[in-house]
Amino acid sequence: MRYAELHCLSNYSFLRSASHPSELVDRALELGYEAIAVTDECSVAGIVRAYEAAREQPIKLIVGSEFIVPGAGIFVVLCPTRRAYAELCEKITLFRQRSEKGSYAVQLEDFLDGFDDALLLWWPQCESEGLSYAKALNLGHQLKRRWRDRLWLLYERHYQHNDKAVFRMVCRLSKQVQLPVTASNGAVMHDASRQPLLDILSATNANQSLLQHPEVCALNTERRLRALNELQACYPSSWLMESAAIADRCTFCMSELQYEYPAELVPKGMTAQQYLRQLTEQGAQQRYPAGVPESVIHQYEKELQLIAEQRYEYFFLTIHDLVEFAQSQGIFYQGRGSAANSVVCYCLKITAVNPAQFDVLFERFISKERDEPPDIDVDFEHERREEVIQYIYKKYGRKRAALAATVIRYRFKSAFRDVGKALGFSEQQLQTYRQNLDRRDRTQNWKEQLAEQYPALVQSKRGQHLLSLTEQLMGFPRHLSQHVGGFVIAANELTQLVPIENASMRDRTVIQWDKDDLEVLKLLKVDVLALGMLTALRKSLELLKSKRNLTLGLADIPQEDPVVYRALQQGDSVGVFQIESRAQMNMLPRLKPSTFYDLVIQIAIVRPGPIQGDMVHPYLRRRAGKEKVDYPSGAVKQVLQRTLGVPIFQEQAIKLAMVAAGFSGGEADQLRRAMAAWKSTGKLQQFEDKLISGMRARGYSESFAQRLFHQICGFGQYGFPESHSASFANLAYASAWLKVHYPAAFFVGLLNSLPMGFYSPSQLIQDAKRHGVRFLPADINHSQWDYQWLADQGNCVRIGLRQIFGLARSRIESLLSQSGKTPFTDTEQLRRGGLHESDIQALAKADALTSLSGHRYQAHWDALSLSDQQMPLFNDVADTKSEISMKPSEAEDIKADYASTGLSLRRHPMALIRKRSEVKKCVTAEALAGCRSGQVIEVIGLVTCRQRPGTKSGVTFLTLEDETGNMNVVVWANTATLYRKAFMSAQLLWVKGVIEMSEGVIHVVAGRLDDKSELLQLSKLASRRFH
Amino acid sequence: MKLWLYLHFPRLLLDNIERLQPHIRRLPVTLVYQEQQKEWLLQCNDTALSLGLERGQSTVLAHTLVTNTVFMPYSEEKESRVLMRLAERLYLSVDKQVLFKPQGIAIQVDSLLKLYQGIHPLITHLKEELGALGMSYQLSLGFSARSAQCLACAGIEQLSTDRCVIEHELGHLPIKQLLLTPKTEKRLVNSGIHQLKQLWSLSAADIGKRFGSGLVDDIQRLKGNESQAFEFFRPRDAFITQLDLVTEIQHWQGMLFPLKRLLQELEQFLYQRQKVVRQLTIELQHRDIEPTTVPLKLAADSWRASEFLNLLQLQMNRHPLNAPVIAIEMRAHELFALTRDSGSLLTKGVAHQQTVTELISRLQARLGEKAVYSPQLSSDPRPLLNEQRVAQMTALPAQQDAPRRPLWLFTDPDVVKIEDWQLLEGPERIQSGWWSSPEMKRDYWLAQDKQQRLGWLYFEDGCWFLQGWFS
Repeated sequence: MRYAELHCLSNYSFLRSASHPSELVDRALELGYEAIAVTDECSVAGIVRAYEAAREQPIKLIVGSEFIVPGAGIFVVLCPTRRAYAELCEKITLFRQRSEKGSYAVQLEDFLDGFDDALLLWWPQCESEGLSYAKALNLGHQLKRRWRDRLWLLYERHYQHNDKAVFRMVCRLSKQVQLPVTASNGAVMHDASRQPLLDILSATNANQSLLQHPEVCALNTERRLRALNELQACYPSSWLMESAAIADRCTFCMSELQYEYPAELVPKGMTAQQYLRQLTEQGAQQRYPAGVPESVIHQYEKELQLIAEQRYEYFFLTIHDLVEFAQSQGIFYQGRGSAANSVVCYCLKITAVNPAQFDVLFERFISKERDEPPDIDVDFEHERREEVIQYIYKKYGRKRAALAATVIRYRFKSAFRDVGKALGFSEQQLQTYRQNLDRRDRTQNWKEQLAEQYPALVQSKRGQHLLSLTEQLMGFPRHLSQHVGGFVIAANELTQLVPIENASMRDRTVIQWDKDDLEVLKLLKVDVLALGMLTALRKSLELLKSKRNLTLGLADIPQEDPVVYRALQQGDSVGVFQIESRAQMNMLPRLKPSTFYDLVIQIAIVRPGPIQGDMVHPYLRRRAGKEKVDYPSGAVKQVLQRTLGVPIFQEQAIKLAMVAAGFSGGEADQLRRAMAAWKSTGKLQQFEDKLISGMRARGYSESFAQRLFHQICGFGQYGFPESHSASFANLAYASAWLKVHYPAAFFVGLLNSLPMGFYSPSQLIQDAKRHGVRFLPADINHSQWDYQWLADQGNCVRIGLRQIFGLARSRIESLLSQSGKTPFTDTEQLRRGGLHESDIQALAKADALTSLSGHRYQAHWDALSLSDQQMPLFNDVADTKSEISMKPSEAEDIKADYASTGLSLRRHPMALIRKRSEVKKCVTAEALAGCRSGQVIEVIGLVTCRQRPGTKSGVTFLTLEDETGNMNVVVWANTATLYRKAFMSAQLLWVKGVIEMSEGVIHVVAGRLDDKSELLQLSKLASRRFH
Repeated sequence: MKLWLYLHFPRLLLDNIERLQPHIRRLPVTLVYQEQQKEWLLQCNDTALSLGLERGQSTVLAHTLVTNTVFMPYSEEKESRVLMRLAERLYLSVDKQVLFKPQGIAIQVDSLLKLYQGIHPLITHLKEELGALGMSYQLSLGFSARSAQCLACAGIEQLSTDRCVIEHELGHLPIKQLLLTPKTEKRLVNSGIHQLKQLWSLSAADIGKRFGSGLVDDIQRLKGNESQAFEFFRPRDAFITQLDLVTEIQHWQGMLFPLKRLLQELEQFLYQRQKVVRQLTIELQHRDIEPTTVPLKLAADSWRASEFLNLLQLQMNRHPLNAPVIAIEMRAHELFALTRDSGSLLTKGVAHQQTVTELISRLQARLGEKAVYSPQLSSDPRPLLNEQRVAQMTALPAQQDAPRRPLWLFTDPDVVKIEDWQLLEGPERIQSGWWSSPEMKRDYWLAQDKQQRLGWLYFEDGCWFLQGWFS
């Protein structure tokens, strides 16, 4: 008995199927099917996953797609050949682009034209769809004329009440139109056990609870992959045999898809290989003006050879083309990724990291053995990335370039919500259950936590369904979204390769595959990403040029400057790329970076991966010489030597699996993928046995093997590749260098590139002040839209109007360009200059009209009289300037500053209350350094940051700010519980605790907390003048 | 000078819930306001306040601070209804009331001073009334409804009738207490105007130019120059009240206390008006399913709580609770004068003449609207669970392509001998209902017996069963 499943939906037909593509393939194999066609609805999004599952298995995968055609039934298009596949992709693109994101539009006429090679299975869904027999007959004849011997009637029996009628109709049609019939399961699940999940999805699709609308549920479990004997019991065997005959006609395999690179990048008369060599050699001359060192030539020769073998020239040339465009436009960029840190990329100016700068044995940048596409991401200035994207569209056209998709999957929260709603729980109930779950709690998973907190829920049948179905649903694809910047560029029309559909963003189109799919098919994508720090650095360096006549590019910044490292060793890194977070800042004085490679480690080590894998402390101890560095073998030493025997980078973990556990290149590659997707799939565990037994067999101790596995798990999603870290370190060093030597230019660049980074403008400005930068307030007669460095006054910066909330940039810039140098003298001029009432009020509120009105209250009062809508009865009232008798107090000014700009140049609010007895006795941030470790002290400050790292259960880090700086407070779980309210909601927090000092890091470990927010209330600050 | 007394009830709805279910006082109970995705506390009872919860906190924070906090949704409509009931109650003492929904009542008191022999006896009387009801309130006197409202809402108990004193108190009110629109309030504060007296000191022209005549008029009202004509409150001719239960109640017994209180309210309501009712509807609301409606039809007109209660206790047996109750609503729409004779609805001889429609409407009047229904097929695929009751005269749209089902279904299917039957069509496989009992997996057949009757058979546990007959 031969059978092929020709109509089957995977969960990439969103909300219509309850099985992953791989589950369908595996089950079909188990049941002895000869072939399976995954025919998602107007989509091939799931086909790559199915291909991956069917690859190297004795089952044929057929590519196809299902279309619901109004008034005609269900059409299943199958691809016997590569040509048919291209037709299908083009048609899907057409149907999808007619419609909004996530939907498609087809009509019968679409199938009466085109489709020269594809096969069509037609399931005439009769009466219910308004398709009478006469109409079906007519339709059959029409289709037959077009499709000839490529057309079949499809019959699916799901044990419904009308089976007999449908069967009769199909037989009659077959006879009258002379069409062969084939039968299929029309499966939407691989196995009957998925019926509950299928019902949940159907209810979600209908936006109903299935308790109230059971009609959305499946009547039975027949839409599954059924055993051959079950199929024989419900279909004539000739119809089943026909399915196998159709499968025999389908010879197309996904592996036939060949990527062809855009060829126009290579000048006529040259091969890609020659051109890449030419560019590399030219670049090398520029990079090494004093003569290219022999070692460098040797290295790039090796790399070029490898590139030639793998035929990756076009990939490098494509990226070179993009960065060349960026260079020509003065857009800062930086390449990263394992391939980016090659000498070739350095010479092509894709990256500024000189590979010779640090003595590192990188994993070979392109692994021949692993046969994976090279990895290069290019970051561009975040404000100007769009220019690069538009360049790509312009150069290659929208038919040849599109963004990769990102598959948005069900995560806990969305799965819990959808399952809950389908099971009739109210939104409020679900929120209550959810809000107390600590998803970062590693000791108890969410199910255990729910069981503990809501035992009644977990004991009820509905509650049990909620839990088990949520778990099943997690990881299911929900819809396609656009990748942040991964472009696929093809030599010819991309639609011959993969369908393109509309993204939600206007003028953006995405292909139906995500980055993993592209990787499986070995299609190259170019990552065009956005990075705020590049914008900031360009702006700072431009300032150096215009104000100090100092022309520097990223690559020209003096290397290994000890002054820069000295500052970093003090933890002075606010605003510095990648190492400004609180955790990074605490690590700096411990790790004491003194070379570029230390920075590479610094960036990679303060990550959840190394922290969970318990790699931080061993590394620090070894670095400080407190622990012996030993290696179980020479091979391990070679991998781990540069990080003192502690694996810190993702590459090291993989390399270790190869050298210590005997993983092959391919297996190591699988391990890498499993690491990346560990959290969502849990696949890493399957490597445990292999890894540990592999190491034991090679003579490593059980404890070493266990520790390594534990460390690899820790890397999970969060492991950081060394190559990325090196590129980031480059920017970290550049920003630190600027901060140390040209703080005004640095902070102006940063403040003009916000939002980005970790800190608010207020925090940045306070830090800048501590570095000797003076700030002048925003003022309509002195400020521009951006912050300005007043270089003639030294480190002096005028705050830009961009800092004021609620201002329209275009109107302000237009006003300032008109005014020239003449100062404004009253608010009416601003109005005439095109500002709206709301702009003038925003300026008044931010005290930026002081030079016109004297103080903010008067300015605001004046601005109000310029209302856009004149008040009818009062139009004739003489336009006398009325004076407001009130002047703002200092406290009122400070409060209004914060409300209108988020910062104040006046005194810190804490300074206003410092003289109060309860504040006076507290130690200031500045004075903390003078205390001794272990001393019991009181501190008070504004809470600027509450951080609860996922890694250390039960501890929360608070940052308190006073007028002298920041303080780090550690709150343990029991203290937090005891003083819960103050802990959670205080704006101004008083803490009594013990000071802890170690290696230059100062913490206050809280013992008692109190909410002192009321001290800052304006009514308490201001004297009560009206009484 | 006109004189107004304003009563502000800062947690009226919650107080009412607590009054009817006193046992919840020891629980931290809060009313929650929801807007878009955000939820925050609007009213907190004393227990909640003592545990650190307060108005404006998010529910998430509140739940974290006090894990057993009870959150109930706030409804302005419900609170307004409570306010109406309160006004009806006060109507016995004071007539010129103006409702400021959902939380305030302004009373024009100058005409009452003679009756009560001064303002203070009146206030003392009202305080006693409100104290007996257990409502939290803030009250204040003013020379206009608007001025009294601002003072009362600000929590200033201003009881002087001296114009200067009132003006002085008002002058010190922060702008935020003037109940202006958020936009106006913000603009004034941004201009350094923090108190009413500062606003008073500005010329009407200056204010008008910036804020329009609305604010100028409003300032006049706050000064006592109120020209507004108010619509004074008139008691309703129907009794409708609702109570949200703090904890879900499973049994009738558990609802007796709040029901008694509600019936007493009804009694008082009727007594005040010298009215009687002959029909009363109690609606018990559930979380997920349709409410249970219990119509109370009296043999004779009545206004006494005890009589309603007796009848209700009889009805309890007839209306078992299918699900926990979360709220009770009591309605009496038709009120009759106390003197009117009661009569039987179905008077002699008439029944014979009735058309079906008339009969139905009589039945509905007698038994309650929802007690008369038509059976109809539902969408549940499981036989016997696929019947539902729909309100009389509401026909559901016929399902397209609906599966063929027998009209006559047996609750207990009969075992049959398959030899007596000829299977015609099938099987139709029904495997569904995993989410509730009974979970079902059966193959159904259309079959004909020797008498040519069409039956619906299924096979289970080695036997054939007859599930029903097709007509």
